[in-house]
Amino acid sequence: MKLSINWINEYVKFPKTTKPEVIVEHLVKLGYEVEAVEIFGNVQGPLVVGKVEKIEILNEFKKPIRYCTVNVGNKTQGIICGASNFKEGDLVVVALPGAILPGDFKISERETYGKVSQGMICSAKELGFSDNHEGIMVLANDLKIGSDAKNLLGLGETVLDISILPDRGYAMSVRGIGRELALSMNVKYVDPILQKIPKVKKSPKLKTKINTKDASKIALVTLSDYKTDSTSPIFMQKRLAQSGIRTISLPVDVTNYLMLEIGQPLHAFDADKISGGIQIRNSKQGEILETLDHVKRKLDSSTLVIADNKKALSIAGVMGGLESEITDKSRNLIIESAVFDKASISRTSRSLKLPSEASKRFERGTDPAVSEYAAILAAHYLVKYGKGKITGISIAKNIIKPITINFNPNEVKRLIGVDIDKATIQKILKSLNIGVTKTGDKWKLRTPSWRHDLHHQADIVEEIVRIWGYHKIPSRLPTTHLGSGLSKAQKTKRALSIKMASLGANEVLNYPFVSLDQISQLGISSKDQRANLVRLANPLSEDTPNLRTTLLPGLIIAAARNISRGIDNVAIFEQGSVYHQSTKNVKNIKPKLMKRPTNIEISNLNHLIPVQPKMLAGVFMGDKNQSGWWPNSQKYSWHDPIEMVVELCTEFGIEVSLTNAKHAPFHPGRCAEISINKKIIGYAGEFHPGVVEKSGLSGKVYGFEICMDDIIENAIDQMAPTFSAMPVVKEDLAFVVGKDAMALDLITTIQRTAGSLLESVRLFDVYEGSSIGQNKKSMAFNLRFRATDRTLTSDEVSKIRLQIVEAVAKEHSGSLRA
Amino acid sequence: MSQDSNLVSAESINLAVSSALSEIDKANDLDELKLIKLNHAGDRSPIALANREIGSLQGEAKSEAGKRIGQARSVVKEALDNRMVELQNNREDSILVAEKVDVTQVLANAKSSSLVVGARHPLTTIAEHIADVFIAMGYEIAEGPEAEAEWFNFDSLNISEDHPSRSSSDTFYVESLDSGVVMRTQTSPVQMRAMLERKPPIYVIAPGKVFRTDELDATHTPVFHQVEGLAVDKNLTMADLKGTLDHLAKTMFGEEIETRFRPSYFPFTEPSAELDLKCFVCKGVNKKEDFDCKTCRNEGWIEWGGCGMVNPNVLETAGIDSTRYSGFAFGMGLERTLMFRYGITDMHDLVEADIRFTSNFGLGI
Repeated sequence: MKLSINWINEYVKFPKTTKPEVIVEHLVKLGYEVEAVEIFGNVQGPLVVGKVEKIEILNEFKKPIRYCTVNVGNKTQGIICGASNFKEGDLVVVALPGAILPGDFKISERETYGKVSQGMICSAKELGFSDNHEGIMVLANDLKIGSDAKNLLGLGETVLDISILPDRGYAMSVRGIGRELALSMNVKYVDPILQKIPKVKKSPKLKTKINTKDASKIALVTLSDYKTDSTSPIFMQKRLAQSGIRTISLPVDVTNYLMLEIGQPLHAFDADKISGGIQIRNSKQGEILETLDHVKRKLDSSTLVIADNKKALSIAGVMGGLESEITDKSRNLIIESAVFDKASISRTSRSLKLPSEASKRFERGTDPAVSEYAAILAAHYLVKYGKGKITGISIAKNIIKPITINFNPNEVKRLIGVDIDKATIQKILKSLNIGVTKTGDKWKLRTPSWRHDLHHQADIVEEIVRIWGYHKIPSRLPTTHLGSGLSKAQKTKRALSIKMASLGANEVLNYPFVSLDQISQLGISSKDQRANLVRLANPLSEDTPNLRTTLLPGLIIAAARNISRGIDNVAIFEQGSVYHQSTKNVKNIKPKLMKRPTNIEISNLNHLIPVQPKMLAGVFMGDKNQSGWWPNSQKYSWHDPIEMVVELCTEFGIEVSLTNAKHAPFHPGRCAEISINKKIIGYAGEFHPGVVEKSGLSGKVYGFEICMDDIIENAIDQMAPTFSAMPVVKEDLAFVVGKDAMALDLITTIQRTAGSLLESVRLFDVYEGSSIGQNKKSMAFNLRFRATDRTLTSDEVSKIRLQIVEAVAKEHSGSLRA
Repeated sequence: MSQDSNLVSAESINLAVSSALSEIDKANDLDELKLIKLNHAGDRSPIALANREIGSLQGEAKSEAGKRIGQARSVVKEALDNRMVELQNNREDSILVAEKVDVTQVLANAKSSSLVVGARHPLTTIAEHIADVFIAMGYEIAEGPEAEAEWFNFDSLNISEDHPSRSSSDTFYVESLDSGVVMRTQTSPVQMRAMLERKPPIYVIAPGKVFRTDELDATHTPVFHQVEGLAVDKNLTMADLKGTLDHLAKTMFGEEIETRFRPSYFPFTEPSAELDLKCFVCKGVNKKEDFDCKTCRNEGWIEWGGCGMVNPNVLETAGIDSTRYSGFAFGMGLERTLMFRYGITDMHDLVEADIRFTSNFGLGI
């Protein structure tokens, strides 16, 4: 909401010299943000009211040019002007030589069109007054010739752009914000509705009623013999322009002006287009109304309309109807001023996407006490600045129950932690027009008609502290409370993230939005649980309307983005939720408020939402460590992601088992299924070359995805190991076995046969080649033997070695490699 | 005479000494010399074996042999010692000199060389840093789902049925619009879950992902992060809230940071406040013509987060007696905090997963 300081100052009596910063500071303290402090129409130098005495038309140019003789008070000036919307005798705004208009436009005496032009006759746009550039500004005839036009037009005045919190509808006017500003600045406040205006008698003819629960009041003032050919008074044009509202016609300008000043939105109808009485009712289902913007709108029964006996005339509080709109020819007018239910207007303006200055005020609640006054004052202005006769007023209203709040002044200390004495509390309440009836500490409060935001004690406490000063709230720490730190799950999650980064991967945080296409591109079949996607009702983009069931699409896209930016080696990981359809079929439930929901209700709410396990996934390609002048560079390989998962699990004392598996998006021969205690926790390995191609990547790409929740669940605290100080005996054994033999099977045989003296066994080489034989491979193991209590003899170890060789021969048809 | 007695003969000893001296002389490096020492002066060397025979000799033969062997041993030892010194000097003067490297090569490889280095996202680590400040004050981390029941995200937090934030132009709904499930628009539903899961006193902090239907641009993203705090106890006041947030501000921005409370509005708190930080770049001196402060956009203050005393309606809905207990809650955006804390000017950097951005932040522990 934009308001000039000058307008506010009319009702808030701070000294004229008060700096804008001071006013801004008071507003901020009261909870109003000031978005901008602007200078309206920055004009410097002489700008005066001039009277056009003579117009000489020069016809020898492309278009007719006017050479005007203008009386600027003490002298006349000859001025060239291209516009033609004025006549001799009109008063205009003249920029004299030496003036500087907005945009650093310097005015000087100059020769043009064969004449000397001694200044400029200005348009509203050239002055920065409004964006109206259709011709020059013609002023009302009662102004003093030669007087300062800057002052008249409010040029150079300061305008504040104030943002009003959604609960403070009452502050959306000079009247509302002025009251609090005066309080904060400790200066006199004059309520704008206390101007004396003529009484209006009850209308003899016009009947009105309220036929809905969503409205509580309507006041209609009728005018006859209305006529205007003049524009709105300059003070009104000025203030509307300063508030960023276009001047249109006297009736529209007057209603806008009073809305800004008093906070009551008004609407004017052409009385001759209306048949019978006027009512507020809910729209009939499917009723059609063509609104001012020439759109035919189909309304539903939740929409409030102002209607006559036959038809809807306007969408209440949101937009007028085209048919009953006032025009130049309207002679009989009805000014409507009403009070609607906040929520109803909010729903309508939102569903029709028609936010307006009026609907913004109705949505936040208007003051029912000013609606009649505003309608009468509007009619009064129309008569005063136009011509016509006020013929009567019709009012219908429902009883509005006044709000009373039981308040204990000790609540201030309980919630804020400061002692504000009761006398001060009472004084603040009174200054906010809140009535107090005291019985000890039981105070009964009556809120003023414009406050729709006060319902509970806490609301009152906020008001008291707001006026007393938020900046005076002290800074204290609560008494220490004992906590137990991070939970096991939280520690595990952090450690997993640190571990992944230490293993060389960079964390990314992708959006969880995917499409079924992206899922099928990974080779995931439509029967896979990951293809059963949760969909958003209102996705940002129809390209990705679903929620992810796997982190891999996002990671693969992120990898491709990095590659496209010239980064050759990519190692990235993500920890995040995935979303699966809820397995329970639960209907949308809304437990009652103001009491704890039952456990069944809580459980139903939890079954309503998707199942959201937390996953950990990574994608790797290119060099693991770059090649260079140092030894041993390595490229990522199929085993890296598998090894990482094993390492992550080992970190938390978890033993995993691996088996070869076929699982999209992985290479069917290079994918490990990873399980903990027979429960599959995820997959790792090399991606299918087809998936890599479709992703716009090239070369080999590796990755894994595991369920983090499973790791968290199985994580155990590592106990201290025991180890022997006796010497170790090392033994290397290479076996020639069939090509399909599994390393882990051989190790199992070795371990079982060797017994407790075998400290460790490790596969250190795998070799295939003609020297080994067709369909054969050699696997070489490094064994370490150690006893806890003695030095092993070579006899002992040779005996075990022999047993191992025999067992491998028997169980795996393996022979010692020569 | 046995063959063994030949071992002690002058001839044998001289031969052993000359062969030792010749090999010592030929030793190229300390490793070779070590082996030569073992062969010629070790337990199984000819001289050592000869020494063992002395015991079986008698009289003059014994003393002569003893003398001979003693001399031989000291000759060999001296040669070994001398050669050792020579070779050590040689190592210092030539080998180690020849092995000299250019250590600046390491920096000549820009980022990443032979070491495998990864990094965590700064949003993750800043959330952890904030959580840790609160854990030190006895808080616990609370969590909740990202696709959340509308009741938890809105209704239970005193956000009315017709509140504008519920519109589908602000909130993502899981299909269909009346499913009762939204992508949570704030971390505040975790407050309600925390209150339903625990009994007062409750002190929790809840960092997490939230969603709003904003298109990605330099300052907006549809998926962003917040951190939410909630304390419910007897005798908690707005002064405790101020102190708590002041402490957080100091740990994040330094002891010098200034804060201010100003009135605000949130349906789930009453009274409500906005916490502003005095701009730590321009120190609030925002009116200078010659300095354009990008951090506070010349406003002097930076809006950091919303907070307030938990609305009694919210406490009652959680089954907590609002006349016996009071609580405070606060929430702030992590992207914004990161942006002005680390001078990040474009939201794209935070969401595009460019590893050049992330790797700059390291493990961030």
